[in-house]
Amino acid sequence: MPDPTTNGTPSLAPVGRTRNALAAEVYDNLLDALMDGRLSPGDRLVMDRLADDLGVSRSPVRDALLRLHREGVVEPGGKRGYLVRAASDSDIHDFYAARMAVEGFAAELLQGAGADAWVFLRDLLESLSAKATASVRESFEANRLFHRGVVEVTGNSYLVDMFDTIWNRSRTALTYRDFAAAYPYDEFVPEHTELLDALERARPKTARNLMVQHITGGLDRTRPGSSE
Amino acid sequence: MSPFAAATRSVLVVQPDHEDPLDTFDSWFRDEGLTTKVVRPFADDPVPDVADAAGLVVLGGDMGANDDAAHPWLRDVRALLASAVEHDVPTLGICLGGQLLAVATGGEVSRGSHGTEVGAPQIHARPEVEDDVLLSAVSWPARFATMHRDEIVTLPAEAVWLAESSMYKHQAFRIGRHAWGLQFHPEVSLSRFVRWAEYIHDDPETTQRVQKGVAEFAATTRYVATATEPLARRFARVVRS
Repeated sequence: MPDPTTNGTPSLAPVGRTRNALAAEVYDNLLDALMDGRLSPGDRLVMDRLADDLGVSRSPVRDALLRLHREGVVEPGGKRGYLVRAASDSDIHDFYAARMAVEGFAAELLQGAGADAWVFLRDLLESLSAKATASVRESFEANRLFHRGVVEVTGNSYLVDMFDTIWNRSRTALTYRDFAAAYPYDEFVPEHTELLDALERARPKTARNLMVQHITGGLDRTRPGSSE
Repeated sequence: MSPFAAATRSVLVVQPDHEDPLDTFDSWFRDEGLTTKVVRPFADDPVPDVADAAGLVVLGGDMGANDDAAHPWLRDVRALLASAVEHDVPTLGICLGGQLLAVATGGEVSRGSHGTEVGAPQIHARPEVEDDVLLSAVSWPARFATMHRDEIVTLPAEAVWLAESSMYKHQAFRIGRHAWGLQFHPEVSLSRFVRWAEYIHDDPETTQRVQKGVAEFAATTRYVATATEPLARRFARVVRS
């Protein structure tokens, strides 16, 4: 039977992991290494060596590196290789500004989301509380998942996709280290509970401002003074 | 109906439980030009041969995938699923249907080790989804409604593992080219889900999970629909092609 999509030739697909699946796995591996500090800004990523280390052929490694390049995580450096990009102050600033646009708008829409949205967001916060204090990395994840929840209840999958794009691109070593150094994760639950309390009482425009202020607080801790 | 639809094709739908109908998938299938023939073995409908069907859907149910003593027809449904895989008939097993597909092709299902999973949790794609003709229709990670006690402990040896949640790892898999098993319920509407929740009278922890799960699905139901409709339509296109 013919395949309903145009890409790929299913009749020729081998059993086991295909190039696309392998590339996705290499990409996840590299992002993990960036997040836990095994890779740092300025480190060189050589295609042949990565392929050897990961035990895969060069094609999926090249695909993964091209994707990271498109996403601004690495930049071409040297022969057949890339450099881990250092996030500049303007990268950090743009990350927070993009968050304010998407998540601020999501907060503005919350009023229309109904009573279940507030129950869900409070349950979500509670379920993430243990994660938030487990480690810096887990705390970053807890924060991301809570904020994604606010966007998810808008029901707008375009906004959720934009949220994912913004947050994926933020996962460079420098952003993560900034987060590690500056984020007071023992305040995760009280800070977000306070945010929810305020959002639930707020009119839409005020809700947007509350979310923008909350995000600005993160920027101030990451890059003191840069939000002015 | 799509102007590109070929002659109307009939999908065989096996419904093991009165309370688990095709629900939202019914209108999406019809919109894609498919007709359905629903078989209810719990009401003594005989399980037919798969050869005449353009596709097969096996829905969820309250019983376990191995409860042959109480529901002898489960054996026939598993045989039907094995036959569909053998003849490359596009097949979708949902919740119990997915568990039956797993057992029919060499996997193992038993009582879930982490208790009842209920709500609309985030489901994460495995890298293999990039090449999967059905699940690549969805933007991952996604949220799907779910409500199950049993789990697929071991996937069949030939299965391609496609998706996981933080609670139960075997959320989606494929056998061969066109047979999928899903642990979650992409077809269920919120109102039907709330009805299911009302049937659960269990220990206090499970009851609390159910309450939270209903709120989770209610809060995210529009977002969930952005994943379920493309999934239904893509499956219909696989059937049609």
